Parts: sequence; C-alpha cells; structure tokens
Amino acid sequence: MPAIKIIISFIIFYFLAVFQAGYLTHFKIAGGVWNPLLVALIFLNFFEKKEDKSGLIIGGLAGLYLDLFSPYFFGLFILTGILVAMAIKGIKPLLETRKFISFALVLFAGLLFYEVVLTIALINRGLSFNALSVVINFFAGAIIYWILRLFNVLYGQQFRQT
Amino acid sequence: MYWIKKNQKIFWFSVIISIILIFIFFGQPIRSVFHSVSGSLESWCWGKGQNDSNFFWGFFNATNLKIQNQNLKQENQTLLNNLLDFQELQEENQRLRNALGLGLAEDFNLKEAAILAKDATRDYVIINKGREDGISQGMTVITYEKVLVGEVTEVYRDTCQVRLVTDFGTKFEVQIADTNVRALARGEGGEGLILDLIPKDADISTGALVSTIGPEGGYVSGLLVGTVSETSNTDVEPFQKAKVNNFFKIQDAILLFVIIN
Repeated sequence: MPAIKIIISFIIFYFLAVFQAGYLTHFKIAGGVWNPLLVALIFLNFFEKKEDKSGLIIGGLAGLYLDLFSPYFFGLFILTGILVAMAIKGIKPLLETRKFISFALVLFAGLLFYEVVLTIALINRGLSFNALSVVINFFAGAIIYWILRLFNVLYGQQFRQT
Repeated sequence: MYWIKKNQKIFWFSVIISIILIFIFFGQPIRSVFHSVSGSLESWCWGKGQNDSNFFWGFFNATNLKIQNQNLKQENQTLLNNLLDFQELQEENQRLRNALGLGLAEDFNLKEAAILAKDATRDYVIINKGREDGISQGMTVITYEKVLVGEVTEVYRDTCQVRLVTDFGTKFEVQIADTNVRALARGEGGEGLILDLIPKDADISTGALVSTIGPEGGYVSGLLVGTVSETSNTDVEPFQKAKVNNFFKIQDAILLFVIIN
C-alpha cells in the first residue's frame, strides 16, 4: 500500500508542481501564493497511519518538485519537505486527530515551519518572511479539509486508523 | 543484508552522502531533463494562467479601468500630436539605417523565447530555449520593444533559467534620460526595482525614462528599464533614491528575445 501511495503521489505531485509554477504564479497576492504541494504534503502526513512512514518519502517528493522550479541549491526543498513531514509526525501523537482544531493547528504550524526554514536558509539572499503566504495556504488547506469532510473522505481514513 | 543490519550507521551515512553528491553533481541535469519532458505542459499552463489572471484582473478592477481609459484617451490625443513630429524623424532614421546597413537584427543576434514557469519565491523564470539553441550563461534577455528583462543564469538542454532584473540583489548601472545622471539600479524582489546613488543635487522628475548605459554597467546600452515613479531625497541619506515603474510586466510578457552575440 505505501508503494502505491508513493507512486500516485509522484504522479499527482508532478501535475501540481507544473500547475503551481505555470498557472498559480499569476495569482500572487502581495507576494503570497498558494502552494498546493505543501498543503498536500501536510494533509498526507496528518492523515497517515501511525506505522506508515511513507509520509517522509512523500515530503521528499514534494520538495523534489519544488526544487525543480527553484533557483536555489538543489535539495533545499527536499530537505525542507522531509523536515516538515518529520515535524508533523512528531507533533501528531500529542493531538486528537479527529478534531478540526488539531488539523488547523498542525496545518498552521507546518506552514509556519516551512516559511521559517526558508527564511533562515535564504537569509543572505534577501528572502523575507512572507506571512501572507502562510495565511493563503492556511485558508486553502482549511477549505480543502471541509470539502473532503463533506464527502466523508477524512472520516473514512479516521475509521481505518482506529 | 546482514552487513547492513550490522553496520546501520555506516549504511545510512553512505546513503546520505550519496544523495548529497547526487544533488551537487546532478541537480542541473535533473532539472534539464524535467523541463525538456514537461516543457509543453508548462507552456500551456503559463498561457492559461496569463489569460485567466488578465481576465480576473479586469473583472476586479473595472472601476479603475474606467478611469484608466479616460486618462489613456487624453494621453492618446497628446501622443497623436507628437506622432506627427516623430514620423518625420523616423523616416529620416530609417533612411540613415538603410544607408549604414543597420537594423534590429544587425544590432543584436536574437533568439526568440517564451516563458514556461516562474519561481514562487524569487524573480526567476524558465524559458523555452536552452543549450541546443545556442544559449549560454550570462546572456541578456529583452522584449521586442528593447525592454530589459534579465540575464540567463543556468542553462539546460532545451530550457534555461533567467534571473529578472527585479530579483533581490541584482545591481546594474543605468542612466536617467534627459539628465545624463547615472544611478545604480537594484532589484528589490517581488518585481520591484529602485534607483540608488543618485547625486543629491540631481533634478529627477517623475516619469523620466531609465535605460541601461553599456557593458561597463552590466548590460548593453540603450535597453529600456522603466520610468521613475517616485523620488526620495532626505537630509539623512547621502544620495537620492527613486522607485522605478518597470516596463517589463511578467503578466503581459508573450515573447522574449535572448541576445546571442
């Protein structure tokens, strides 16, 4: 099962990455832009079974696609993606994953963590912290969460976990 | 397998070192192959994004468009008057160019290109021309109107990466038209550009044209950059500063040209 999940993620992430760099980049709001790869990475890691470790590979995959479009050192986003995945896995046991507030907290923390890592890593190259990017991605993640919940997708996942 | 179990630390250390080495030595080829494979999809997405963003921009700025339209009508009247004078000059210019054998193609050896994608965090774009088209690092990218776009920073097989002049940290020398004043243009990121090191006593008017001054300034001379939109001259600072309204707008960019020679 994890292998299939990774393969499917690999294909879907490809289209998300092209969509992000080619299409969404035109819809910047004060420097902030929706990052569907990052949101997808947080979703997959949050709703993953405890024993399943494929979220870490998925984090690396999302980072790989971000790296392909970035001018930075190759591997920076891979590392960031893995770190975000590890952070989510670390914080998850402390939370009640069925509640929206838990998801919102992890989503916000994940996005914040990603922005902080980027800001620190690229501080000498002038990248400043973009709070609006966190806000946009947070709302996008929350909307997707409720849409999925509406269609019972997340509930199904939760029942399997218990 | 037994060896791996016994020497897990060495195994994982070797794996990490191998991955880092792959990133260092194969980062560029990986990007090159990726953009070669997905170039057409990226191009399609870019076109769709450009059309849709223009549509939404017009939709949400309908009031501004009305005012803008009125201003443009007034401006058009003024320009029509100027056009009569310019037509005469243009004809003379064309005659001289023909006589001297000069033309745009003679000015620069150009390679036509289109944008495929843009990085979300920096002012970098990917364009659809690469090593196989004769592109190399450091080449200048312009538009059809001779507006400066940026510089090629990384070249792949069929594509290349262009750093826009507005990216944070870019520096090049420019001239403010009609004043002979030279200034240092600095990229601010987020498609912003400012002029620095302008002498305090220089009289810079809003709307003044900014252009490149030559190879010593970083780019070939005569490329248009934008117009001065705002000046700041405070007593605490040793030089004047000015904001530039760039001519190059990424949302309107359809065709770019790479200067080959």
